Amino acid sequence: MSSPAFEGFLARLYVDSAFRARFLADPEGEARRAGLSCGDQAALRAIDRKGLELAAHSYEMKRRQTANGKRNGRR
Amino acid sequence: MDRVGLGWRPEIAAEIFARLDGIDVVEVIADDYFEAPSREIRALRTLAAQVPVVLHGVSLGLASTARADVRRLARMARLVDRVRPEFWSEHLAFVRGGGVEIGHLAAPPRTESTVDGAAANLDRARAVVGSAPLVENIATLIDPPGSDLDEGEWVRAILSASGADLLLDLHNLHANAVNFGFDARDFIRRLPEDRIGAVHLAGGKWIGRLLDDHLHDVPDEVYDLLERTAAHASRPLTVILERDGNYPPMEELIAQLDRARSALRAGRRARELARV
Amino acid sequence: MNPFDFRGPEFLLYYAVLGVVVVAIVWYRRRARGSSGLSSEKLADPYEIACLRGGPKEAVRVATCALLDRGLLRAEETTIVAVRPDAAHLVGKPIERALMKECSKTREVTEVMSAPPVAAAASELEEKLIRRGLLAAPEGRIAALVGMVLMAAVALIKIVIAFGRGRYNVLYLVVFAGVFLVVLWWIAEWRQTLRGLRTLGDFRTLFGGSRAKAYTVGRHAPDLALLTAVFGLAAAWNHTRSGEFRKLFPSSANEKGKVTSYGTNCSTTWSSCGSSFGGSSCSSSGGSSCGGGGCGGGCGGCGGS
Repeated sequence: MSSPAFEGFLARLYVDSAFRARFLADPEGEARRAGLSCGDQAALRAIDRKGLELAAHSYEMKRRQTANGKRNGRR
Repeated sequence: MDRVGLGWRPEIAAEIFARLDGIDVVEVIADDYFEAPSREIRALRTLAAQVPVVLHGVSLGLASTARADVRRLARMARLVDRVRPEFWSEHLAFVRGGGVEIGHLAAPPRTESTVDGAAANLDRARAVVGSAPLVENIATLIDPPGSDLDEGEWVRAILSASGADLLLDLHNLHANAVNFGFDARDFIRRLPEDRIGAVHLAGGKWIGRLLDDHLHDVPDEVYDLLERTAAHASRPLTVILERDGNYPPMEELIAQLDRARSALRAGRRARELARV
Repeated sequence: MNPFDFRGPEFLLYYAVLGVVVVAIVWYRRRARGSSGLSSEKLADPYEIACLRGGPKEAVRVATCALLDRGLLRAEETTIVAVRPDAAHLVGKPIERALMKECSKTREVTEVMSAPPVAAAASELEEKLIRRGLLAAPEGRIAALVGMVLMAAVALIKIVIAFGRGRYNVLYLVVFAGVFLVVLWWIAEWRQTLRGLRTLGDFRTLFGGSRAKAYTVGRHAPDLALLTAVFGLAAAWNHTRSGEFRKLFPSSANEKGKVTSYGTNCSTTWSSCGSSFGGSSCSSSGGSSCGGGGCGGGCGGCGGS
């Protein structure tokens, strides 16, 4: 299991809050619409929801911090 | 010989430099220099003349079924060529997928396919950069979905398939062990003893799960893991204390380095006694 | 063929070529000799760095401020004294020991700075830097002076010959001679070699981002000596003892050029102000996932703050 498509799906889950909300409402449906395999769909159905929210929030904070750093003239 | 150092941070650069008598090595974040003007790269070379420097990358995303971007590898290669660090390192993470940038390190599914993907990317890195990086285990707040290997099995499989060595981040290990219920000491015991090249130490905070934020002091449990690592590892270790903000006075950071040295000595003594 | 028999325009051309060659030779001897293209010097002693930037006296000023910060010296207006008369053994570096010994009783800082043991310790720093090719050797200065004498002599001889032949149109020659003499004098004043300049520039780049913190009274700042060595005493502008530093060394601590948290000391040569200041913008808080302030990066997650 795992493929560029699955990783792409995860990346979108971590970054896109609207997509994440739709996913949490219907995980298998979103996975199916994304063309993922049955195995991937099952894995996503069983996703660690608490961890997903914590991770997504963490990544958003990090992206904001990076953006602020760039606006302040830092790389 | 084991050595202990700090992450190089511009905010405390002068304090670090003023205390090089107590610092054996500094770790520079490579990504901060990919687009730096020549004078900043040259300044790093001057720094490298004062103290050993190692480079630490954060954006290659090598532990992925997707092929590592050769342009990003080439950027790392140019920096390594100009700075000539003692070694460079990266993470067992993916950072992008499907055209989406996550903006940070994410744990990929721990499967045979990501083992193969990581090994292939590490081969590519070796070819482009001229050397393979040490690979670091990352902390994750989410149990990576789609995994069918545990973290220890997955990391060992990547080391075996790629030939790369491990940068063992002990706070990441500790955080994952706390968050997902496994024994960090057992993880260390099962690592190949000759493949641990470097160690990271850091601190974190509780946010519902233990977060590795690099803003807090190294907890006692991590020093204990360092002692166990020193008792297990057969090669000299480069130990880096990572602190990214909320900086205490430099003497407190130096005290943490000294505590790391004590833990290393205790571990090495235990290793010697075990061999007798 | 005797160049002094050349007609005006031809002689001017000859003189210009001679001047360029002399300047090139002098420049090489003064600045570039022994310099590699890269700054790879091991140079961690802040007093050596201060001497490289501003000369032996600057090293003494930086050492004095460092000792004040560490509570080993006490200042009152323009005088300094060791806190304990026998405290010289508490310090490690020769320039610090010399200062502590000279301050066993209260003295004017200008007296202490010119005391032979202090001046000797500071000169030793300068000699070390010359041996390492970071400061220009004295022979380079002599070469510049010889160059000046040569160019002046050639011009003067030609002028005398011209006047003897009834030719008085020597203005261009006088101007050319003036330009070359000024350039050679300017080169003679240079202190650092290219390698020395680059090393200083690299230190400014490395430390330009260092935090301007509020120095805590009673707790010595390990980086004070380094930052003042690299940027000048104005770098200590927010130190609790900055008032004392200013009274002791008014021209250094109030240096013009303080445009950011740390000023630049341009008091010695133009070259010490050559590098841009505060150019380092490589805070890892901006660009990297791993490392960074505020939220902190970590290498595995960053939660809310």
